[in-house]
Amino acid sequence: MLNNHQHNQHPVDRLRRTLLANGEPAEDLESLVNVGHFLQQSAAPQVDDQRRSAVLNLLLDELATQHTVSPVETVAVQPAGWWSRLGSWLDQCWWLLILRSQVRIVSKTIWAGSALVMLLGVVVTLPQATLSAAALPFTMIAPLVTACGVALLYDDMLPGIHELEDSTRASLPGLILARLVLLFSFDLLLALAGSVILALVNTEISLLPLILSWLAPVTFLAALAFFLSVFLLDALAAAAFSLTLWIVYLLVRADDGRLLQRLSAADFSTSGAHLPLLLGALTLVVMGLWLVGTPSRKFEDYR
Amino acid sequence: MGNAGSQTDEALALGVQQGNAENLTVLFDRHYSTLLAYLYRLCLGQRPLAEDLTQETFLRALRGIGSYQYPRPFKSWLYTIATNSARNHFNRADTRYTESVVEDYDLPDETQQPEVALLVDEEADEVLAALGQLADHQREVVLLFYYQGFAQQEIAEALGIPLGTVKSRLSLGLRRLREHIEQKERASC
Repeated sequence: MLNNHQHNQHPVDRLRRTLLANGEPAEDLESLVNVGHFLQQSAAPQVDDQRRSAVLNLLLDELATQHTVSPVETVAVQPAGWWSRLGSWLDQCWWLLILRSQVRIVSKTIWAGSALVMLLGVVVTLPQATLSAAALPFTMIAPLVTACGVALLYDDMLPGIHELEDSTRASLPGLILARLVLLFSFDLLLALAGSVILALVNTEISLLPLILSWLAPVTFLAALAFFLSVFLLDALAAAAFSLTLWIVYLLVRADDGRLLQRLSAADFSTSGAHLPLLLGALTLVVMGLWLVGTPSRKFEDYR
Repeated sequence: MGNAGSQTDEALALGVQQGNAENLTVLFDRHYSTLLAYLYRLCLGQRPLAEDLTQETFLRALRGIGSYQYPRPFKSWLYTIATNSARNHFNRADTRYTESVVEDYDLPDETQQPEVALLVDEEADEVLAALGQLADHQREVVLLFYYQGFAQQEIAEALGIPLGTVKSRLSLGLRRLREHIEQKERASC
């Protein structure tokens, strides 16, 4: 539950530290800490050993009753099928359990916002079939959605990040990675679903080129936004920087002028740009996770 | 006792789900006295009631162990049950336990001098009376934070309330206690 350092702390010291972290006014601090000294006067009640043993025996009897298998039940038990074996294996997968635990914690607005904007991208793109895959609005919108969502993901955790680390057995980078995987997978699925819909509704759009046109930019911008949000401790700045970078790139690519011709030649949607972008994304995510785990990035800095 | 003693609460709880009695004994040993202390203060010193609620909490936890989801912190889960047991008791009894009902005391430690033991009892009694001035929800948060060593996020999980609410209840509870202490000091002058 609590780490060793906190376990060793005197309750009054822990109270002072928490009140400071909660932003209690300095003029109130000492008088509130004195309440801790007052509370210290209450000793824990002495345990009645007889009662304690009686309760333990009651529990052990209850446990034995729960796990007593009657002969009829023994006959009825069938060997577990592959489906139930898979289920029990999944139930014990620690990484899957962490993922499952984080699903309900990620803010619902992030899920809903991502889905809504992606849907908007599909609707806007439908009448644009004559454009190349890289120039379709959907290809431009998908990276924006993911970058914003990922940047907000870390920001969403910041206020309780110190508490979260204390209360969970998984490491902080592990928890953040779990959320990153969840949100990125969600956005990826949304983009895939959007692409499939576009390809099905409009035969002018080819599925594979469309997917390839957004896959690497989505990954890279999401990783960049994540890294910046951890580095700057400012989700808004991280999202703004990623969005600006993407918009500048789109403008440069759309510019027919001679000045920007060299830059526009670097088309991120081409297969030659995929590998550097994906490697860059991986590097940024690893650096971000490393930063999250360093003491200087934790609660004290945020405060 | 095998290696159960070195395992985490969460790993032990998984074992209890499989019917492991040794794991149950270790978990019980780890949490009985602290849970009793929590409920004792929550019930404002009603020791028999605290003991009954402690027993009820462990029984309910064991009967519902199948619903425990690893790796959720076991301690938070256990204290959720304890707090709900206490709330249910007071709801059933239609009793407002914000009133001070300090009526049962621990026997003084025999190694202490009688006058020291009396003083210690008076101080403990004073704390329980002050805790009785708090609203139920504030008392739960103050007790879990101060005596049980819960982090604020753990309290939020155990009580099913947002972190911000935990912070405000802790702050308001401490301020209420401070007022009580100040009033007592003024009265004694």
